[in-house]
Formats: sequence, C-alpha cells, structure tokens
Amino acid sequence: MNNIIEVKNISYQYPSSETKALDNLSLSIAKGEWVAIIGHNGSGKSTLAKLLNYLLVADEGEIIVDGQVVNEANMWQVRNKIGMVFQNPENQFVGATVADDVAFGLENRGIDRAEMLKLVPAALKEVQMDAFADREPTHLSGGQKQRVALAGIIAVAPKIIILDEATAMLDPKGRQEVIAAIRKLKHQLGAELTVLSITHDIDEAADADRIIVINDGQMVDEGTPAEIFSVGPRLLELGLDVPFAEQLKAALRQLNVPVPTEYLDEERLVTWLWQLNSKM
Amino acid sequence: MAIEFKNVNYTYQVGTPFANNALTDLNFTIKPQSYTALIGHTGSGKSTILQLLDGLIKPTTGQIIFDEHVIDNKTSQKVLAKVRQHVGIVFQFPESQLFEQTVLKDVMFGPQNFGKTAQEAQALAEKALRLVNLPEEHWQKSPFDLSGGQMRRVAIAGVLAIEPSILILDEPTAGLDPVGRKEMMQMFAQLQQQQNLTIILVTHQMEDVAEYADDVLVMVGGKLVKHATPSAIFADIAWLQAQQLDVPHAVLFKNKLQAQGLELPTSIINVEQLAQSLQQYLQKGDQG
Repeated sequence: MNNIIEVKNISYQYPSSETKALDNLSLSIAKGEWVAIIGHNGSGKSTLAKLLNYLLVADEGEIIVDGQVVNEANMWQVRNKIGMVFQNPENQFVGATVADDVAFGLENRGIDRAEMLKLVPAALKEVQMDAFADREPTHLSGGQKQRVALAGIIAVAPKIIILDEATAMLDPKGRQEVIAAIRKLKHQLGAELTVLSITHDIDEAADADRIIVINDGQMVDEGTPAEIFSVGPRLLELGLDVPFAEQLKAALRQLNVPVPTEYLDEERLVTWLWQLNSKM
Repeated sequence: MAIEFKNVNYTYQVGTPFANNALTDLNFTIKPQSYTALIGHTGSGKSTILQLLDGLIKPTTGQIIFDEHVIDNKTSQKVLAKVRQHVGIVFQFPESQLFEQTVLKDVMFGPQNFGKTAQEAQALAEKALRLVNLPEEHWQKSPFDLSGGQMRRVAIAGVLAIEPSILILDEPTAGLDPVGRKEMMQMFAQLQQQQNLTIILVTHQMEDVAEYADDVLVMVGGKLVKHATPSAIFADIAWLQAQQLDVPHAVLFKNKLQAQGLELPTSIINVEQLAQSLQQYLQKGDQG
C-alpha cells in the first residue's frame, strides 16, 4: 500500500525532561486513511504531531511525509502538505475578521488575491461559517472558532490534516459540529485526504479506520476500532476511555456478574443481557 | 452555607441603549452541603450567576441571601468582600492564573489577601496542598515546572486555602484526559464530604451531573427552566434533546434494555446504578 506517512524508529526527549517523550516509535499511515491516535496526557501523541511537521526535530530516526524526508531542507514543502488544528481555539487566530483569518495561510503561500477571493468563501462555506465572514473571531463560540481554523486549512488544500485534540475544549454541540465538518470533508475528498486525529474522545476515535494506542512514547496497540475496544480493561489501565458497553461490563464484573470477555457493542450487550434474563 | 436567590434580575449596561437582560426573575435555593449542577448553553446566564455568587456584580433588582448576608443593588463593597471569603471559585483553566515563584507562595496568596499573617497563610496553604494530593516534594518548585494536571491542582489549592464554605467549579475538568478527569471529580466529591462544602458545578458533561450532583439547575436564555434532581431531569429525554443537552449514556442504555422488556427502575442515571439494578434483576430471576 502507498504510505503517506512513514515514521521509522524515532526518539525524542524534551530538554527539560528526564524521560523520552517518544521512544523508538515506528508506524505508517496509508494515503487516504483516517487514523486516530489515542493515549493519556503525556503519552507522547502531541509530540509525534509536532515532529511530523518539523515543529520539533527528532533526536533519532526518520520521518517520511509523502515521499519526502522531514528535515530542515524539506520542512516548508512538508508543512505545505500538512494542516494542523490545535486544541485551544483561542490560540489560533491571527486575523481581525473570520475571512482575514482564513486568508492568512493563503497569503503566506503567496496566492493571488483574485484566487483568494474565491478560495476563502468556498472554505468557509465548507464548514458552514460563510455567514460569519466579516465577524470578529472573538465573538464566536468554541466550535465555530475551530471550524474557522479548519476552513483556514481547507483553503490551502493540504494532503494531510492533523487534529491535535481539536475538540477537547468544546462543548458537546461544538464537538459534534467539528466532527461533522471533518467527516463531510473526508467523504468528499476520499483518498486525496489523510486524517490523523489525536484524541481522547472515544466517539471521535470510533470514526477512524484504524486506532493507534500510544503509551510512554511507544505504540502499544493498533487495530480497527472494534479490535481496540475489545481490550477494554487494558485501555482503562492505560488511562483511556472505553465505550459505554465496556464500562458497564466492568461495573458488572465488579459485582461478580459473569460477563463475556470478548468485545460486545451496545446492541450485542443488550441481546446478551436479554438472553441471560430469559434463561433464568 | 445556604444560598437563596429571590426575584433576581440582572441587566448588563443598565440605562444605555445596549441594556441587555442577562437574568430574569430567578428564584431558587441551594441547600447547605448540597452538590448542585448548573447547566445550560453558552449565553444562558450561567456566567452571570457565577459572578453574582462571587460578589463581582450585584443584582439589578432582587436579593441574594447567603445565611445572614443579604446582597441587593445597594450592598456595600465591604459586605461583598465578606461574602467573597466564603465563596471559592475555580474558573475554567485555573492554571492560567498561577503567577508566584513557588507552589507554596502561590497558594498562600489568597489567605494573605484576606488578611492572614504569613504564618497562618502557610499553614492554610500546606493543608490545601494536602487536600488536593500534591506531594510535598513539589511545594518549593515553580508552579510552571509542573505538569498541566498538577498545575490545576495548585490553582485549586489556592482556592481551598481561603477555606470557603461554597466551592464553585466552572468546567473544572476541561482539557484533562479521562483518568485525570475522573481523579479530579472524585477529589471534589471527597472534599465535599470532608470539608462539608456546598458545591456548585457548571458543566456540559452530563455524565458528571449523573454521577456526582444531587440537584440540578437548568438555565435557558437567562431563565431558570428546571430545578430538580438528576433522576428527574434525565427522565425526560425528549425535553433534554430539545434543549440540546446530552443524555447520560446509562439512561440511553437503560431505555434500550427496557425496550427489550427488562423492567428497570426509571431512576437509573449512571453506570454503577445500572450495574447494580441489573445484578439484582438477574438474581431475582435466578430465584424465581
């Protein structure tokens, strides 16, 4: 398969830290894939995002993005291929109006004004924020701000979007708005867009084609959402959320109710409980 | 400490063309040592209530009664300052307010500000740091050398050090990971028990409301639209969805089981209650 991201044996240690944030990590992401990276705070997942974009430089190992080695010589080309949405909606605004903000990335890339006048409204429309083009970003809700940040990325049409806990600070409605916008975008662009979502949100992770679990700077597991969620108790040990059905199984197990060990989604757990009930 | 809101109205920029009614005719009582969740959307008036509770603003009309202290539009700053000593607010992302050179000094700032001597303030700060489980080895460090979760604990210790009887939490777990979130919420529940605190939790996390609160205030457009127990609030799913509020997962799952004919109490709102009811239900089936 054609891998758009190849991470080979990378290690990184922050200057102020005594332990490695990433420790000999290797992984690959196929072109067009939607991958969720989960792990508790401090597991190294955000460090990985920054290394991919050459915001941090790996101590050891090599990263290849879309056929190019991530290094000082290539960093501008690599950054052109990657759009990032960060966690805090307050920290990513530079423009005086919503439209100015979306135009910022285009200006940076020296795009023609005539071209920008087409791209900016189109990108805002994509995230349903076109009605807010002339507003000041400060008056928007968190979900609206993150969608504007996403529009700024859509405008420059990167091959890869990295969401670094992009929904963590939003209320449920804001979170749904942002996830819906990304889902729609992924649906439209198909294999042309690769999504890497770094998240705690189990529902956001469940949307991915594949989940990678990171702990102490190493990959400890990978698989489809169903495969990963089937090791519920282990996820809890790693400080992660599990789907509700697994939470209920864990609570029942504590009360000495014998529950199946394999992963059951909610429907199957309902059926299992119902059958248990009718047998008695 | 009990809190009573009596016909409270609050208008921003009174007497100007920009006058904006943020709260309309609020009447409710928060019982001492209760754990009340304050829920509603952005713009529903939650922040205005927080500011009133901390004496940062005064009601335009009506009264807020804290035990013997009555606050209305005419209340002096002196009385407000007295009330403020009883109310601790943990704002969103409280770690952004840390500023001192060491953790201990930062936590001492509050009590010193309220007139305690350095010695008294230090004793209070040490007690507060123990309450939030921040190990002593960190007390002389710069708060900025700690992890995000630890910084938040320091900021919360700073609030606890003034020994408030009312603790207001504004989205206290935003940005924490699942384990951090759970530890933080369990810490508040424990504090409430140990310190006899009245807790007011402002949150979007209905799972936390279902798990920890014993009373719920729902605000819509500056009005109190519901004041009830969590079980009563979460019993009406259609209403919650109309208000665009989340329904706790345990409630949705319980409904699926009920649809399959399992008879479960409607009061179930969290995963522990659901597991217990299922266990009892299955045992009963066993005997029958």
